[in-house]
Amino acid sequence: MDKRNIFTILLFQLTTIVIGKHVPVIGWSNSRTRLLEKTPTIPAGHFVNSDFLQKNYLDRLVASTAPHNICVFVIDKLSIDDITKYSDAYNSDSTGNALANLRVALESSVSSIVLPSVDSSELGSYLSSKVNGQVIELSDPSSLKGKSLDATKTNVIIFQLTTSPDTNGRENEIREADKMIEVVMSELNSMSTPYTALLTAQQAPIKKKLTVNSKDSVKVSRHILESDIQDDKFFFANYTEAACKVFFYSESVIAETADGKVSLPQETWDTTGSNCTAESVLLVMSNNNGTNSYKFEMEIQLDKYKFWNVNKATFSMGTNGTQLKQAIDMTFVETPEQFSYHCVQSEAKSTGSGDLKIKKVIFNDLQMQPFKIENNQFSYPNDCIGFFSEGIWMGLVTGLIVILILAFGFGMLASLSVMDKFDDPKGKTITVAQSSE
Amino acid sequence: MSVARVAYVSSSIITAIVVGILLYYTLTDQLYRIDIGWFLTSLSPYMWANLGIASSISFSVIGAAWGIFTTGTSIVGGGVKTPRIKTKNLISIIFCEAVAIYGIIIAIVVSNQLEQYDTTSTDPEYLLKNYTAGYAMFGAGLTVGLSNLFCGICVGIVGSGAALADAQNPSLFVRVLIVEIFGSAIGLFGVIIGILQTTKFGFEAAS
Repeated sequence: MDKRNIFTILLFQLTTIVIGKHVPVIGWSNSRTRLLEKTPTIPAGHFVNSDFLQKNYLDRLVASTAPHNICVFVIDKLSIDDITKYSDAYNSDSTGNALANLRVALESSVSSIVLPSVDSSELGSYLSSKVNGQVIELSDPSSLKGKSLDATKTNVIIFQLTTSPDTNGRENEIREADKMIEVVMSELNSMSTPYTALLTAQQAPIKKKLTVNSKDSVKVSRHILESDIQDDKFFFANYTEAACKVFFYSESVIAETADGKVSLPQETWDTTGSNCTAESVLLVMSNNNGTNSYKFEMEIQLDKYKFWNVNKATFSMGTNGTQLKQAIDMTFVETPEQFSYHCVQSEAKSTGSGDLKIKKVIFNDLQMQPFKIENNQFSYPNDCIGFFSEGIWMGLVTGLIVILILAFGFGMLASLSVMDKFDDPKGKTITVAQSSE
Repeated sequence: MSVARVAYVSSSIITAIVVGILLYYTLTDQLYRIDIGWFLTSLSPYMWANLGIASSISFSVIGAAWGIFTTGTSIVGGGVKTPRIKTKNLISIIFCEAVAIYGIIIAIVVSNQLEQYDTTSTDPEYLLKNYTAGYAMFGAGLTVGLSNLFCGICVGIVGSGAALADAQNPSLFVRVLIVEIFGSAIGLFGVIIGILQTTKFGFEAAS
């Protein structure tokens, strides 16, 4: 019991450290006494905790005898990655892109520091408590103008900046923050007392996990990449009768019309109107919720070789009772009786006549089984993708031919031998007369 | 590591793998997935056509090279003692070289028939035409290549014998040359059949 409690406490602490506490601190100062130089070098990846920050950086600022203004910018969300990404940091001729003003401030300062990963939650309060002058907390950059600050004492000004969330991207949020910093800097520069500015954040932005949409990259790799967070919604239909069961599942079904792609509703569809026997199944799936109503009709037949196939399939789509039909070709699902058919991405093209103008119906992650369902589960799937794809076979055939030729040639070379028929180890050796030239 | 031992070991390993795979498919009732029809219709006809072109030129060159080195060593060796044989016996070398030239002619003729076709078409007649063209080119290339391979070996050995016989007795050369002419005719047969195989078929660009 004790071990478990300790573990959960540690885990909680670890998560709080990891989530949101790794914020950068960027400082610059125009004080002649070079307050921010000669600070200890931080190895890359090193996390600076509050004590270290206070002892090595903040104490220098408050202990300095010359009075100056300390201005702390606390942005709601910032990380060192944002700064390097949006300020074009690795390009030596850049002008700083979204953080142009910050760049100018850092370059024109007398001394500056950049700490990538700091716990700065107590920075503001520590400075406020140690300093002997005024402590002002503002949230609007332009409100610094009117304030009068005592020039003989060290004052602390804390700006809590919140960037309005911009759906267009982080870059615009950073640009906005940069503008606010610029307003304050111009005001600070106009004052006679030197200043030190510290830029930090309340928390680091939560990073989005990299995912790959498996629907777009199916034909490329063999392994399954992590797909987008599923909503657990899928297209499903089942029909059960006394002697037979039919399952139809597809993660999503998309009908491609001339105008665009229509995504069919991902819920359990109604199968009234279906019927099945031991050798043939008529599966009717309809959905009348929502504005459009859709219907699939599939005739599945078991042939004499005990392979089933969808001989005829139609798709209807319409509104308000008028439905237009189109025949689609699903004969790729040919499978033996006891297996289900599974395919990660398949298309049923429209064939023959029909009033509904669709090009094809795309099934993502289709799995269907009309016969021999046991234990309410799909049986072993007959997958549309085999072990070796066409490309692999082509490579193997050509490669094997080439290797065979090489092996043959190598064998011939290896069987070369020296003519030693008339060699007599105990006989006279050949002597070649040396010509004196 | 003799050739026999290597052949024994590699063939037994390959057989074991093949039997294992077949047993797996048989015992899980999935033999229907071993589909030779799928294999023949899915592999791109470009692969077959290009394999044909490659085999036509490469096997012919192997045959020619083999023949030339066989004859060449005999001519050079015999020419040490009997220098008069060297100019007359170059004709054997020319017969061997002709074999390589047959190969390159067919390779050029067949590769000129290669064209892009619409791979996404669903018209079975159109696809049939293009697949046939691919297989025809493969067959023609293989025909020409293999027949030139053996023709080259044959002409080479005969030419070597001709050189050595000529070195012994100059009147023998013309007789042996007749044997060599018969040998080189078989390469020509291969070229004729190869041309017949491939001229009727070609890739069709548009459906």
